[in-house]
Amino acid sequence: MVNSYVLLGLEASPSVFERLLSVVPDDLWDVRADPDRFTVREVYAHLAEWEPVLQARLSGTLLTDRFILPNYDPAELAIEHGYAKIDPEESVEKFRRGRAETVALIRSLPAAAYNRVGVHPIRGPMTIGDQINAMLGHDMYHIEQVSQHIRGGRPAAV
Amino acid sequence: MAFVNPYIRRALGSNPVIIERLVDQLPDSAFDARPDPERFTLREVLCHLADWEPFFLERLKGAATVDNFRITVYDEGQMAIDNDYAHQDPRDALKRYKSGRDAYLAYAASLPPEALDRPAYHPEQGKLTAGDLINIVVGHDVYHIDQISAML
Repeated sequence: MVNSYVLLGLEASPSVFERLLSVVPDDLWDVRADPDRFTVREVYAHLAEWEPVLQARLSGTLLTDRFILPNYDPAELAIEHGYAKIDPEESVEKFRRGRAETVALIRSLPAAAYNRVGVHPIRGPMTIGDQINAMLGHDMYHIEQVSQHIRGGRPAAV
Repeated sequence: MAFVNPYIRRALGSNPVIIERLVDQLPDSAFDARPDPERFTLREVLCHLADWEPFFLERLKGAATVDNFRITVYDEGQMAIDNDYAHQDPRDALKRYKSGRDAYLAYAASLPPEALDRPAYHPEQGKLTAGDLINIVVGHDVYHIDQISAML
């Protein structure tokens, strides 16, 4: 099953990312704090590009028994598609549009569909419910990452 | 730990950190602002998160160990009044929330994979597995992270 809080979270994520971007100084957008992870700019491009992948996984699992979930190397996509040059404010809007489509798709699913199984090439079998919950976890993985770049402590009281 | 997805496990641990970072961005005057008359203030949110963590743990333990466990629901608005959220120290509440989450995460990590499929029964939502309960905790966090981030 997918709990209403999970759906609320999925709907809220683009706004959370947008607000975080507003408090991350733009001179930090291209700082690679961890050599194995994306910069802030790349995170936003990744989210915008990954949403259709997540939708394709859901749609495929809905229509095909034991659908093999499409999977790509995010780091390779970042290079091939020039994430380092993409405006994160444009990315967040693209992500917002994609997420609205994803949530509409999820809301259209009959309850029985949540137990349909797709197969992730690395993680193995994942029901549609599993895939939806994982989406929220993936959002939070990157929200935590971006929140590391919030500058300064508490501003002075006004 | 056999969470549905490793991202969920990570989010359980990192969501309190995200909330702390957001709170650190806000002036003290934000603690008692109520931009939505139907929702908690920031001070009340932090108290609510701190108070709810033991309930989430109680539910998870019940699902994992008691056959046909019946989930007890609590009225969060009444809890805010009974526990006087309006006069609690929000930073103490944040510490309690983080401590409660540490306990939750430790217990969840101790569960064998088969325990995640054990059912419990919520009076409004019906059957929920222990795994569902874990996902709900993450969703509940995000519901309030969205609320707090709107105060930035």
